Amino acid sequence: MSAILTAKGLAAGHADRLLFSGLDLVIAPGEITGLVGANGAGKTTTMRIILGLDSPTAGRALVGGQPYQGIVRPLHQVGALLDADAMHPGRSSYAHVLSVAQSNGIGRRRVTEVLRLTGLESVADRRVKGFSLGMKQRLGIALALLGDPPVLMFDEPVNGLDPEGVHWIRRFFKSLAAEGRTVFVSSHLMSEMALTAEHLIIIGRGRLLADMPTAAFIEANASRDVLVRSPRPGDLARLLTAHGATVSPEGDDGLSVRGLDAPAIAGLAAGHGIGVHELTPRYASLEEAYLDITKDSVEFHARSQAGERTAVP
Amino acid sequence: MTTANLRRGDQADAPGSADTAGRIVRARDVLISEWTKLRSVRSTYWVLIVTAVVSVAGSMLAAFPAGRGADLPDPVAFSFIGWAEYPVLAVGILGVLAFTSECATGQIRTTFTAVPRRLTVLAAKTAIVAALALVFGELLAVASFSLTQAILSRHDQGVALSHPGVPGAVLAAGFVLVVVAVTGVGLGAAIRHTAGAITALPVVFYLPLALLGLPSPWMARDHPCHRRHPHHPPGRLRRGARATLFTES
Repeated sequence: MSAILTAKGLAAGHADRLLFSGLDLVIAPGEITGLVGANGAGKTTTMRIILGLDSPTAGRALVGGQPYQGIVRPLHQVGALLDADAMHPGRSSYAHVLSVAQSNGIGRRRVTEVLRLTGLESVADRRVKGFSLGMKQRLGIALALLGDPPVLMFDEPVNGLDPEGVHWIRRFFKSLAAEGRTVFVSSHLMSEMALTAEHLIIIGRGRLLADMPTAAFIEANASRDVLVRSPRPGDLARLLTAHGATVSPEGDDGLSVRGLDAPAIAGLAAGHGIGVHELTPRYASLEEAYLDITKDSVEFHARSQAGERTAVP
Repeated sequence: MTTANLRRGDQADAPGSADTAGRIVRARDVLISEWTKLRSVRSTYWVLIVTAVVSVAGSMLAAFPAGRGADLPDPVAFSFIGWAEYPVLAVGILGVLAFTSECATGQIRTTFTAVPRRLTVLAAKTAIVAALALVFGELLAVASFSLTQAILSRHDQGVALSHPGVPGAVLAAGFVLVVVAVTGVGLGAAIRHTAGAITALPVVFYLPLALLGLPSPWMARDHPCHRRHPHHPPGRLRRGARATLFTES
């Protein structure tokens, strides 16, 4: 099976002020791929371009090797939930799903089936008007599943859901990926994606910032440094530097050490008779690592948040 | 929901885009889908009910006093006198809503995701609205004719449906609704705003008539457009035929 969802040199926005450019994507089947970026980075736009709802300024996106507009019954190739509100509120959920099914030659049996799968059987005849956001999300997922497609795309699927709904969606995505499908999910919450996605694509600053397995991203970004306090910071700094660490002073007697872990530092200090008053490994949260990469890409960020750091003893 | 049937849709999709078979499949799918959409919202029924009531009632109300008066020059046209002004335009709202309700609610994004060929969607919408307007229009024409003639008959002024020329006139009157409804779809798709498109409906239909009334430097007296009913001699299908004029002018 060839790569089912690909983009080459994708650019979006106005020619003089591009949202992003040069986006190359290959979304692999059988796993959940998370598209992460700040609000306004172009996550939704990327998905809209894949679905042919927007035209790219440059480049192209292909589904199963062909442009989306060229597919005769596209719901058999891609199921997508971009906007849970994209429906006529006066229609019953059954009629809504049926009208979409018919446009792709899908029968009534499958309509009943997806309504059951998403737990909407009991409200099938109710008009969509009174639906909660969670129910609308489920209805949108029912539409995405109609054609039993190998590719599924969800834009900010957990936004506004209660914890139970979030849990349901997470498990649901995992089961879809386990069936061998390509699951492409976007979120502006790094923590959410770290829990859900096996592969991360981060966009910001108008380009692709990272495209790697979630585990590798955590490995590369989540650990930070060790804070050491000592009555002889100068001696300790020279010692650690000689053993390959990068050391920078912090406060009067503190050192921020990178490149050596806490046990190694303690061992060296003890071996050379240097007292140590404090030894604290510090981890950047995943959110922080993500903020680091996207720092310049957030157009309106709150200054007070800059430089916050969590210490994990 | 297993990997085994992931490729289920491939057979239909495989050759993909451009071939005729694909286009026919798509057209049929979308027509069925648009029909489901049209019949599953209440506004459709409201528009049809309101159009029927005001049109038929208008003609019947006009028939009561007219039947008692002097001989009518054209009793057939009288069956549609209630349609002649605004009432019949109500069916245009059906066409307008077919498009604008999707824009206003966001449904259009779902529609275009399921059917990325937008012209196919527009064509299917137009066809379905036209078909419904045709069936409804002809039923309405027959109903309007029968009820009005029943009233006129009490004063011996009625005409039978079998009378020469009458079936054609009734059919044509019904077809007016198709013209109005399809114009509604066009205005809805162009303006994409319900109130705007509904406002534009009477403007499109009556502005040309209003212009005909302009005095001479703007409208030469002998201009062919100025003759209101070029195909009909005076006396036949005169006043009530304003309705049929839609199709002619």
